Formats: sequence, C-alpha cells, structure tokens
Amino acid sequence: MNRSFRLLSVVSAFALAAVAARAADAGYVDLGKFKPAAGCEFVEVNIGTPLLKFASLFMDHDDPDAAALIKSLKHIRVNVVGLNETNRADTTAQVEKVRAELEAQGWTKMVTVREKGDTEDVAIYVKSHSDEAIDGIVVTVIDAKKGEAVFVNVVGNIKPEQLASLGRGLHIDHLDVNVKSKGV
Amino acid sequence: MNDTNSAIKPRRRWWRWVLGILGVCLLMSAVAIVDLVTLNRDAAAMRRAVFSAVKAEKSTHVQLSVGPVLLGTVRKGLGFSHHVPEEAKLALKGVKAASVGVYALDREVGAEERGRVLAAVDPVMLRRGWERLVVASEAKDTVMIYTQPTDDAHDPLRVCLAVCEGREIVIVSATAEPDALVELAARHGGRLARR
Repeated sequence: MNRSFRLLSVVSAFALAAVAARAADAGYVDLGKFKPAAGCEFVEVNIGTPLLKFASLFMDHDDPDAAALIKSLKHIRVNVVGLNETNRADTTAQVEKVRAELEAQGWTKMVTVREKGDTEDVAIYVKSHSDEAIDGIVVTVIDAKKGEAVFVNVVGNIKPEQLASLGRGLHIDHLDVNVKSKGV
Repeated sequence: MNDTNSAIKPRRRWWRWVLGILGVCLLMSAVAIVDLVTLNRDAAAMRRAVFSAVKAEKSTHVQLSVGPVLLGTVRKGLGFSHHVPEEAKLALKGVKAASVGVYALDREVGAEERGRVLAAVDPVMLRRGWERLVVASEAKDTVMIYTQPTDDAHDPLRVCLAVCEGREIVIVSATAEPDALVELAARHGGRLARR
C-alpha cells in the first residue's frame, strides 16, 4: 500500500510538473475539447516547438523572415468546428466562456467585430508582458454565414511588427487589417 | 571396433550443425516475411481502433512494412547506380522506416462513423505516447495525423496517420530523417523558383 501510494505521488508530481510547464507559457490558453458534429467540417491542428522549428527549416532558404517568425513561436493550435443544431449552443457557450476567462486573466481585447445581423462575431485577444513582445494571441470567431466557429491560439515570443505577417500567414484577416490600421 | 565408432560420431555432429543453421535461417526468413507483410505495432493498433468503429466488410489491398535494414540495403544498392536521380536517393535517405496499409470496404464510411473513428483512435494513440497533430473531417473524408514528441527539430520524426475516404481506409506509419527532407525540399524549392 505504502509503495503504491509513493508511486502514485511521484507520477502525480510529474504530471503536475508537465501541466505547469505548459501553463507557464503565459500565452498558452486551454481552449478545451470540441465536439465534432456529424456531417460538418471539423479541423484541429496542434503544433509544438520541435515541429515549428522543423517547419522553419523548410522556409529558411526562401523566406528567412517568415522562418524566423515561425522559429520564435512555441505553439499553434487551430480549431475549426462546423456548427449544426446538435453542437451550436454548446460551441457558442464555449466561445463565450473562453472570452470571459481571457478577460478575467488580463488579456487585452485587440479586435472586436460584430457584423450586421450577427453573421460574424470576431474577438482577438493579446497577452504581452512588455511593449517589446507578445506572449500569445487568441482569435475566436463565430461565423453564422459559414456555420462554423474558429479558435486560434498562437504562443511565442512575437514582436508587434510581426503581427501583420502572422495574420497573413495564418489567414487571420482581422489581425492583419487591425495591425495596419494601428500603424504597427 | 572402437576406432570405427569414433570415426562415425564427428560426421553426425557436422550434419546437426548444418540443419540447425538452416533451421535458424528459415525461421529468420519467415519472421522477415511476416514483418514485411504486416503493419508495425503502432499502425496495427491504429488499424484495430479504426475498425472497431467501422463495422464493414474489409479487404486488404496493400499491407507492407519496410524497416531500416531493408531500406538501408536498397539505399546501398542504389548508391552504385548512376541512373537513379539524386532526388530519389535523397528521398529514400529521408525515410528510415515505413508501414502502409490500404483497405477497401464494402460500403462508404458514414459521417457518424467517422466521428466514432476519431473517438476510438484518439485514446489508443495517446496511450501509446503519440500526440495529435492534425484532425480534419469534411463531407466525405477524415484525416488524423499523430506524431511522437521530439526534443529537437533534427531528431527522427515519427508520424502515424489514418485516412478514411469514401470506401477506402489508409493507415501509414513512418519514421523520417528531417535533415534529408529539408535538403530535398530546398533542392526542389530552388528548382521551382528557377521555373
């Protein structure tokens, strides 16, 4: 019994350390799990540091700036969830929950877009520890026209002037436009 | 009498050795053939999980595994040939091991079944130390790609993927050498740029 308890304690300590290590990345957000709806589109992409560095090796020859940007990232998570009657309410509630948590944790709401008739609802949050670097970006979109919800979390040591490139690279149009309008 | 008996014994021992070695060779050949025509453990686990969710009659079109020994032998062989393009040699250098299974079903995989496939495959792969890299599911197909975490971008890259498309299911597990792939991409990128 004592040996089992000790083993369990050691395993729990390692697990907690792993979670803490991930959580220690200030820009990381646990977006939760998403339920795919039958017959609807569902995409999840989860890329960590080693694969990002591997990807940057491919770009190094042709686009060193893009390669440097990718190398500075620690984690990218993208979720695209197709909505129908079975998951619309839960997914929308999850979006609102994530937004509320981000605001409570001190993330800055950089972009808010609400189109007429609530066809598109976009919110982009940014976390930075100084004017020189951004620790993380979270993009949440509910697109009633396309019938999908999009979540993006980018974690890394991102310079403000790289935001527009990041927006273009990840096809986050609102990020690119907003950065240009703010003259970054 | 005693001299005749002692002359017979060494010949019997010699045949036993030959038979023993032949038996071992046959056994090793059998194991190698079985390895060649079956999936590796991770791909097999993924296949079992997929087919636990898809209740359809299946027929195996392709099932093949090539390991470092066979690929290394092929690479050495190709090294002596001047007719094989350098890119092909580099592509082969980029792959350390691969396991492929292609299965045909008697009907299309439905949307709900594809959802069950994801629910079945995920816990199996996570238990085996794989991390989910990409999941993409559209109208008629689903792709799941898993990798094993590495410490460094230059470490061998292990990938395991399953594709459910229409009436076909494809399972692939591969170990790739990142540096060779990057060199291949750089050469290919340069050629495309010149065009």
